[in-house]
Amino acid sequence: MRGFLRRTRAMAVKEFKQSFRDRLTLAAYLFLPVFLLLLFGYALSFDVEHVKLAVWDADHTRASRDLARSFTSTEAFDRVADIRSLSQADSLVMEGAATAVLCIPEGYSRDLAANRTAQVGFLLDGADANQGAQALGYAQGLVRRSDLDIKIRQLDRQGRGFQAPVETRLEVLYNPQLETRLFMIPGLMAYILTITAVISTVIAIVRERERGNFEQLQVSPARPIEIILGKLAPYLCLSALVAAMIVVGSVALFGMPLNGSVGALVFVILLFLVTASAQGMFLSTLSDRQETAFSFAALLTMLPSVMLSGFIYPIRNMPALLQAVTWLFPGRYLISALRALMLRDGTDILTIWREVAALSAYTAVVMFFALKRLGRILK
Amino acid sequence: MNLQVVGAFVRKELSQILRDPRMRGITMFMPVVQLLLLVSAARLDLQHAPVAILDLDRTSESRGLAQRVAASPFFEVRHDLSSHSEVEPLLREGRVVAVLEIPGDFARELAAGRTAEVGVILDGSDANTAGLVGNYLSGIAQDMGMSRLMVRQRKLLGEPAFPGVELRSRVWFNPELESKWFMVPAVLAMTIFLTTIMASSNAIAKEREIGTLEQLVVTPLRGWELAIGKVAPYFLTSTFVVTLVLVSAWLVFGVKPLGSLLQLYPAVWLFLFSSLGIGLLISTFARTQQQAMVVASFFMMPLMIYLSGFTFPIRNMPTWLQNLTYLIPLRYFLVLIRGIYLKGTGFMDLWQQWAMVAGYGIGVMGLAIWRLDRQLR
Amino acid sequence: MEVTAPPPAIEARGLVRRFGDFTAVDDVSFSVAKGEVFGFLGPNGSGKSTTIRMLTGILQPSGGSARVAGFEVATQSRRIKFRIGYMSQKFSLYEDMTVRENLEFFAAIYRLERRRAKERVEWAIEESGLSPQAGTLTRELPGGFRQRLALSCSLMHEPEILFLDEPTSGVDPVARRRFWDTIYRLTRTGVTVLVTTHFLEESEFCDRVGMILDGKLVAIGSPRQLKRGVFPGLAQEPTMDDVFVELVRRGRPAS
Repeated sequence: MRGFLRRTRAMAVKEFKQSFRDRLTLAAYLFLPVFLLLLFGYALSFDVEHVKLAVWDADHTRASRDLARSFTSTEAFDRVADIRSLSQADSLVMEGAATAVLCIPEGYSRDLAANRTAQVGFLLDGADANQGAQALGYAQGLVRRSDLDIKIRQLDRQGRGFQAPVETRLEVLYNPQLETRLFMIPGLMAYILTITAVISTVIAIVRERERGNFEQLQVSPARPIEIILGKLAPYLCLSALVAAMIVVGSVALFGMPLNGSVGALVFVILLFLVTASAQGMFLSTLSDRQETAFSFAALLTMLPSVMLSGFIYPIRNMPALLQAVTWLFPGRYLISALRALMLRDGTDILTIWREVAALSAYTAVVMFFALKRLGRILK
Repeated sequence: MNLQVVGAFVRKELSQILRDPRMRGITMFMPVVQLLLLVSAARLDLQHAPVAILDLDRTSESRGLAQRVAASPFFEVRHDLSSHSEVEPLLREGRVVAVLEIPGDFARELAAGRTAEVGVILDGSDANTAGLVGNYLSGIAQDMGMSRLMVRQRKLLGEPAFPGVELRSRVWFNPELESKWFMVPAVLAMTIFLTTIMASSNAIAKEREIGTLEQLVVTPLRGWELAIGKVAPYFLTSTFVVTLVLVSAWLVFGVKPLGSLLQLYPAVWLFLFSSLGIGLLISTFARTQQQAMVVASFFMMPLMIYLSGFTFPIRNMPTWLQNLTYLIPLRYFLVLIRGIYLKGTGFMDLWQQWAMVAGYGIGVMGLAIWRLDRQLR
Repeated sequence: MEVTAPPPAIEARGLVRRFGDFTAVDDVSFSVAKGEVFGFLGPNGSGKSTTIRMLTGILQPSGGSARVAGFEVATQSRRIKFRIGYMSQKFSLYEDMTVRENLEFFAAIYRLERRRAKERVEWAIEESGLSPQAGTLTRELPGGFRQRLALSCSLMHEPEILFLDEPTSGVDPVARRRFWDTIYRLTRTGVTVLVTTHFLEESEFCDRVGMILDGKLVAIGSPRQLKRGVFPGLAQEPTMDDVFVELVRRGRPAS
């Protein structure tokens, strides 16, 4: 037992020195989480805000100006131009100078005065579908609001004193400010840990293979398991450190709550690191050239980790076949577990039993194949 | 000007790339797989969001509201609740995104002409969805209220006319607001960018690591010959990949470019100058392959993906960051390629983007070549 | 009648190379005449490789200067590159290309005109006896064949001067013999050869030899001159090994 520990430790120390002697790599590992955390915390969001709106007010009455103002006084729309013709609108949108155009026809207030329903046009650049749908929704909401107000005012004038018949009261549990960043940070964690744990493992193992150093190890008394563990140890430690940095950073800087059980949080993160290492081990057996192995690893883990894990795009929205495919990405489980444990109160290990079970099963299967293949290579 | 040298290099690189079946697979076919996966996945709109309804009133009015919600394509009513205590566990476990609470006095308030208040309890952990759900549910409820109001008024006053405002919307370029139109050109750009940066950043570092760079230094090879030789094969493979992706996008998603291919390919080539140039530049600094790959994936990729407008709109970023994004070539290329694909923009409409992509490419490539030349002396 | 000797093929003047505060090459000066086979001997880490890399332009000297093929290394390296060939310790071949592809590549890099390139490639394959392996991937070749290939690659452009850094390491004695035969044939065509090696017996094959120890040139001359110089009046001819050990002993007080 003591021999085992000593040899593993020796491997780990060697690996650590080899990889992190070049400070650039170490700096990269530590810089990435900091940079992304700051980026996501302060800079990136999906909110539909400051949509460039051109206003074509052909009516020039108080009523039309009121309507236009109801749009531009919100944060959703920024008034970028006042135009007078459709061709102007056309060219603005083509150039990308405006994303939407509000068209209030001449006769708008006349229609209102005559108790008719006035029609207002909203032209939208549909190229950016996500933003477009939200902008359209906003516009519809604003018009609906105006419509309601106009009708109620009319009823009031007729002395009927109506209020809006149905109102909704919104109550938000968990993340009451609906901050995008709190929603994203679990995804960020999964993404960063995937890189530090999976990619680094792949590079480490394949680098050794490519350089031919494996032969030396094959001859030494170190057993395959010691070699592998020794190789993984530095990256595991680094990843754990990075995970801690992210948690502490997000709590301190962005007020990320830790509403659920912290113990469960630590547990699921460590479990994920093991899973990621297993993935890395398996991926490293796919090629003996660094370039190829790295490309494989990057395309199979990094990109799905952003697009298919629920990080940004909800899994629910994906076609059924694709949803099934997402079962293959461990990041998915970590993200849903983290969201539950960090954002929702009263969650504990039992709440996330499904994620834990999935990660464990995944690890077991991948680890089995990885060890089998690695064992064969090392013999 | 020695094209023979460059030709030899290109031949060498191509044979190295194409000989390894795995590299072949990655370079050629992965992008198509990515396209298929990513375009299907990237939707932020609301679809069958699971909700639950807590109907404390159980009148025809309340059921009417519940039915409107169930009939909406945006929602899927999963549970019909009967008490408050059921609400929180459902949300905590993430089984539904929102609960619509219809109070016990709903019908009564409506009948009396007062404001009936319904509650929408949202799980904020998925902030984006929550926002949309909140908006849409409110809309449904308010619409219901308004139509009832109008019906009442007509009953009371015969057929009165009411002033009102209605929105007529028209969507340019993508009438159904389908995200795939938006995503296909973006994924195309992203894929080219990632694969070429990863490949080219390794290029010189690998020769250095295996020792052949030394051999090349001794030969009369010039910096630009090496650069072009290393980079040209990727022009070829990328063109092939772009074609594959274009065809796949059309066959699978029915998305094909509105603008002319005569603009598309040159735009891609100009952009390749940038991405290959960046990769090459990284390669001149990196001492080992690991360094090159780490810098490419840890620094470059996140920067480029997140700050280029690919997923997160640039206008939402703080001003200082927006200014920084001017340094990212992908930003211009995305505008360009979306323009060509979706709007059929002419050359003059987006000449600034063309200029930026071209200028950036020449600049970065030039810098990389200069460095290479120095290293070869 | 005054016969002016032709200028030396290689001339090193006080070459110095430092890595941080470690001096790998310390004030090394020598010259090699045209057509000579000059050997650099010394233990590993003594500065042989570093010196050769300074002469071929791979490394910049920290001090001193050199002339190769009549041109200054520091300022006219481009002209030099066309005239020299280099074979590194690691053989620097593209493992995932075939023998023929490697040769064709280097022929093209040296800007050989197409027909000439073809000729040279065929010549190289014949000359090195690699015909049966012409289409084999380099990584599948055994050490001896690799060595031949690496040498051929460095000869594609018929250089005047050949720099060989430990060309026989990792190669069996038969292959080594064959290698030196090839070198001799080259020198008969007027090629100058600078070889580094830590196999002291190989020094017997050289016209002149320079011994490097801890970055300094401790002895220079023909093998016979060195033997006589270090062991004057010895009856039995000493081996270069003996010479070397003796020099080391003298150079390092506590041996």
